[in-house]
Amino acid sequence: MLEIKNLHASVAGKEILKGLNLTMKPGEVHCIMGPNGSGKSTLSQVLAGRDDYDVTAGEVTFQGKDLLDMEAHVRALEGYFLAFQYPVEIPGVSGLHFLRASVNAVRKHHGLEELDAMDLMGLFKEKARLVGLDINSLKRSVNEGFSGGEKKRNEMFQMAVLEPKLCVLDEIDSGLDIDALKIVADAVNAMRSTERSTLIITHYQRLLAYIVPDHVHVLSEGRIVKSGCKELALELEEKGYSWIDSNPSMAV
Amino acid sequence: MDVMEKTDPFLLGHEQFSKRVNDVPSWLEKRRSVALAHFKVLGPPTRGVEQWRFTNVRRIAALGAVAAGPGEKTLTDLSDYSADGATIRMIFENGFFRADLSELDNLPKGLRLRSLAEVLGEHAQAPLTQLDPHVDSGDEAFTALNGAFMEDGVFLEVAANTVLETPIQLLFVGHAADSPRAAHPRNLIAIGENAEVTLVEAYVGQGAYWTNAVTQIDLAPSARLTHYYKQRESERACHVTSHIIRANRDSRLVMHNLLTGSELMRHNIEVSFTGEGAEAQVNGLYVADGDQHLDNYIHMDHQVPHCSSDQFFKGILDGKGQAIFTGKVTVRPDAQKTDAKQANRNLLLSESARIDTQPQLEIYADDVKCAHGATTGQIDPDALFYLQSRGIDPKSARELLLFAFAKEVIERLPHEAMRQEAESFLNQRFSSASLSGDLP
Repeated sequence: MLEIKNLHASVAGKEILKGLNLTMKPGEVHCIMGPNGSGKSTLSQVLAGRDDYDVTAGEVTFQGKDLLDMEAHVRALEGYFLAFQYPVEIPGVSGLHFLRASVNAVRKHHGLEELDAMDLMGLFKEKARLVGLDINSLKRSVNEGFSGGEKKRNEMFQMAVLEPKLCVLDEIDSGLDIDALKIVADAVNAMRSTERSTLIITHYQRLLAYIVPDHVHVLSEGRIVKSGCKELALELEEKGYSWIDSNPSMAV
Repeated sequence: MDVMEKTDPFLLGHEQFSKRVNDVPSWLEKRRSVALAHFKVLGPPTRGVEQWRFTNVRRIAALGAVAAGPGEKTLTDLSDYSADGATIRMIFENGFFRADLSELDNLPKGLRLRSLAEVLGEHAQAPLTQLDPHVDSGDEAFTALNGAFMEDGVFLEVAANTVLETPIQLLFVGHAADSPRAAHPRNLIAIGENAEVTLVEAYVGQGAYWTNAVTQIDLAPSARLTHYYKQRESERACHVTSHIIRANRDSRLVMHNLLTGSELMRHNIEVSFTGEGAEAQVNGLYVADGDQHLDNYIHMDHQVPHCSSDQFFKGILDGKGQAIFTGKVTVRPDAQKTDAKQANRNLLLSESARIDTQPQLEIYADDVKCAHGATTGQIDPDALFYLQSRGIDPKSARELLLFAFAKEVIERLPHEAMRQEAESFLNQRFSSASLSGDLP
């Protein structure tokens, strides 16, 4: 599904990712944990194709194709989905209009016929039920005036509608109360399949009580310094990130 | 003085004009010659004049436009121009009424809609009272020039208590003949007491020409006018217009301006509040790209208490496009309890696009509310990236965001036909290469 080799990336001349390696197979759920400033969000943005970041070395293969060679929107069309830590407000563009453009772009890319308004409503209603979204909220401008939890629910809704191959959830749990957290987790779990992989990027392990990862990685100073199974997250929670920093020998 | 700044290039064809109209009533001949003399005293506007400091009229002079005549009829087909949902349509070609193309049959009761030339012809002895002589003697040189060439235009009277549901369209089509033509339509619009009407005043055309229009609007007590002014002149045309509006007691004006055409535009809106309780809301969107220069000069003159004015303008500038937004508010000493608002928001899409926005507040009363704000920004790169991250290509994402910006003005248009027409026009404009921008 995804293979990252020796990825180096910098922003404004400062190197953030310093040789990151990660391999994800179809159907797997991975979790990357790390303290603030370790490069978690940079990784998700670089993979999504944000051009503020310079990739200085390394390669990323997504479903056999060179991900870094694709424009941002092509990555999405190919099945990469980033759930934003801070979903962007877009005044004047309704959720319906936005998702219609998005869904039909993806369908066109895969040689499928575009959906008409009726079929789209059917699809939206079905997916809205899945994440408990009020379908009427799609008439409002994208993310504008929504609470933090509602915005994350919108992200899950978009993910459910677009049915990506690889879902990357960037700090999806930040600022969420327990109910909102469950909604996010339920959506992710409902979408788990042998065809789809999920990468959870988080600071805390509390989300992992609801979404059980196959692999947990610890990111520090722009590299993955430790990988393990889900128990690693608990250990990390207990001992704190200083445990990693004080054990430089852990670096792979 | 620079040669191009002299009056001559603006008076081309005036001799022929004088010969043609020499049998007019003496009062009218006198009006014209007074206006001409006033234009010559003022001279064409220069950037030394405060109200014109951002606009050089050299482009108009360079056109060498010759005053059009009523005999030059070439327009046969209106299919390029939307009716904006109107069933009553009055058509003008280079400023002259085209009865054959107009749709004025079975006018509803209470509506008097005729060409000014016809009405003037019926006033051989006494001056036409609706024609306010003060309009021509103000400090706008091009308004005086319009007076010097006054011959035709719209004459519209809506009787008291008349309510018309469907809009009336006044369509001005300009074009060049063997050389660029100048049109000076004079429009007189009077909305009677407690009457209600929606007007579309649209300027379109092809090729190089100059429109110099003056529209005088009088709102009687409690009159309600929704006025959609659509400036979609040819990209090689120059367009100057003055809306001179008097708002009487408890009248209500809602004006929508969609300003996308011409290579040079100067648009004056002057609202005089002469009766208490009057309200004027003026919305606008200007879009300039290429080498377009669009100058908006709005003056809300609060002369009496308890009136409100609201200016809401948005602008999109690309290429070397340039726009000016001057929102002037005068609150005279007697005009207590005035509520005057203005907002101007701009999107700059290229390094060389330019906006000059300036509120001018002159407040001589002490119990008033005045608010103003102006912003200028670029397309939000975060929004652009967010859309792309959902599979929408950069060009479509950009168009979506431009339209979202414009929508706030468009959705205020009073009729579905107008909104749809404006929407499809703008979508086409935003997807054209000329609005591609060089910034994200």
